[in-house]
Amino acid sequence: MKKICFQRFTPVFLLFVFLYLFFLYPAQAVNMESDQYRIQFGTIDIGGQKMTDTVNNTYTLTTSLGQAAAKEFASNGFTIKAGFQYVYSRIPFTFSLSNTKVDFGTLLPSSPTTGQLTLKVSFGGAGQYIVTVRADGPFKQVLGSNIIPATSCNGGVDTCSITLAKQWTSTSAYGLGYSMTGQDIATDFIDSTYFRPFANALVPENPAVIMQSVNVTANLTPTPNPSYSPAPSLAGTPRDTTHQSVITLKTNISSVQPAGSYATVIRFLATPSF
Amino acid sequence: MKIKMILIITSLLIAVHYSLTTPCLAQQITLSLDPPIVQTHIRPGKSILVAYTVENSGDPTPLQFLIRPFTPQGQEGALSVGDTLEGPILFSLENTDVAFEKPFFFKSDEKRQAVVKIQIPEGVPEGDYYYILLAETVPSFSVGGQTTSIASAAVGSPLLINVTQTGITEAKGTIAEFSIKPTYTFTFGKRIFRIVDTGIPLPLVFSIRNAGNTLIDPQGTIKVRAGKKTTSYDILPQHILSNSQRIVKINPPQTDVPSNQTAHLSGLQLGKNTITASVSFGENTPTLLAQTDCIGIPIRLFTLSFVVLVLCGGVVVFASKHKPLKEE
Repeated sequence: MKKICFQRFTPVFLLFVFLYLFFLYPAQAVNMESDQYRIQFGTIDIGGQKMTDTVNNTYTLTTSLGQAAAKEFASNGFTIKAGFQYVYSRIPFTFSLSNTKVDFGTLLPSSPTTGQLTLKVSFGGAGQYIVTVRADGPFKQVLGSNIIPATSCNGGVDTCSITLAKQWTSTSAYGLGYSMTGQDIATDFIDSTYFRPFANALVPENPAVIMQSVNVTANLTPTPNPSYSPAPSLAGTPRDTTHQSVITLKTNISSVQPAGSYATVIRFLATPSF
Repeated sequence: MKIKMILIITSLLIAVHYSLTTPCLAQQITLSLDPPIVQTHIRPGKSILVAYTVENSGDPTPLQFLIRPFTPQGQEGALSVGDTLEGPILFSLENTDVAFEKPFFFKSDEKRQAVVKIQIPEGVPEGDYYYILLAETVPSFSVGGQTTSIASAAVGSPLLINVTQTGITEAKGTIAEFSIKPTYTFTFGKRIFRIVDTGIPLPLVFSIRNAGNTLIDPQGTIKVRAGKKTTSYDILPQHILSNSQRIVKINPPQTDVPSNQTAHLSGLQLGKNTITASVSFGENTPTLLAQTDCIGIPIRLFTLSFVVLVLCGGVVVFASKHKPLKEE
């Protein structure tokens, strides 16, 4: 009897193990995007309404009545404008970072290790933006004072700086640096072998501009201008509302680098330009 | 019996673990801030409230609000943010649940409002003061024996404050640079000749300097005139902050133009091309003019034609020297 129970139970057990092994959720970073339009006319909101097209809710249009900015300075002692008045945008400025941590694992001498982060900027309504980066300092030992310094790339004619990327291909060139690929990046990142060291807040150095554009805008005037027709047959080629780039962090250590855990904080700042 | 018990317990543990396991995700940061920029004129002694909304569309994260002064950096629209809050303007958060520089836990899909009170004390000198509201994630260390970079993300909203008694501001804009990057330049006597290839877009740099204490908003056009044909480009409305210089852009912006150039002018004609700019800074301000010219030559086309002619000539000469002998 015992043997029969055991024999019946074994397949059930194996089934559980099979389910456990093969039906786990994969680990992934979530991308949040929308390809729909959201157009707002904004000032300082006093009143207004939200209009949505009745076909498939593709377009949302919000308007506001009144404008505090129009009130006379003389009577109030102030005027205020929010958003880019020339494009009437109050669509939020959004910045996205794919991860908060780049784990280099265990570093081996003269074996460069890399890690990546994806940066996304979405303005939606209008204008221009800048993304800067600066490190709190070089890679520093968590329990100690040793550091992995900033890279100078290959050195010689290929000596990079915080504003000028140069080639870093030599395995005997050590340090920490970053490269950029994607949209709106600085032109000195010619290809993925070009790196810069991070600006160092301890020096202190000004953060370096890594993404910049005056062209992140929703297509408020689609090209060509459509004649009136109900949405969603509004023709035209909308321009990107989201711009994206990838930053590749690279580190390489020498054989005399003291063992230990090293860490630093990389600070990204995304702002609509003024 | 023991084996059976072990199998049952193991199966139970696996089932419980499987049913209660949530997907393992990389921690993503997605922060939105609205309004993206605020510009205000305030009289000394007055205070105003500005309500900012920050939204977390990413994973839960500690967040803090900061106010920092900034100055324009370079002439391409970059800004340099100070490390500490300084200056004569007073800021406070009117919220009861958050304060400046005090991290709070910001859940996913949560929206928070930061009601910022801006107070201008009496006696503050007239002029512009530039600050930025930052919503910054607070990095947390969990290094775990590895070499790690911790990323912190911040979104900012520039706050352009003009302190004025009257509400009237004075625009002091000048044209700092209006130049083209010709293919060749040579001087003949006192005249400079700029030769451009009509087949290549011509880089233009148009920079405006603001020598005043208040920001200016240049408005105007850039025109390219060749013969009877005139092409006009509008200047993109951008602030030029006090005591700074900025390269202006055209509207709509061109995607492939480097940030240190205004535009790439295309459609240049054979012969003299005149490029002019007229710019003003609002009502009752003078219009500033700038002009440059260049001579358009289809250099590539000429080169190609010359090469083809040489090749054809060579073929003709070769053929004439190697004529087959006529039979007599």
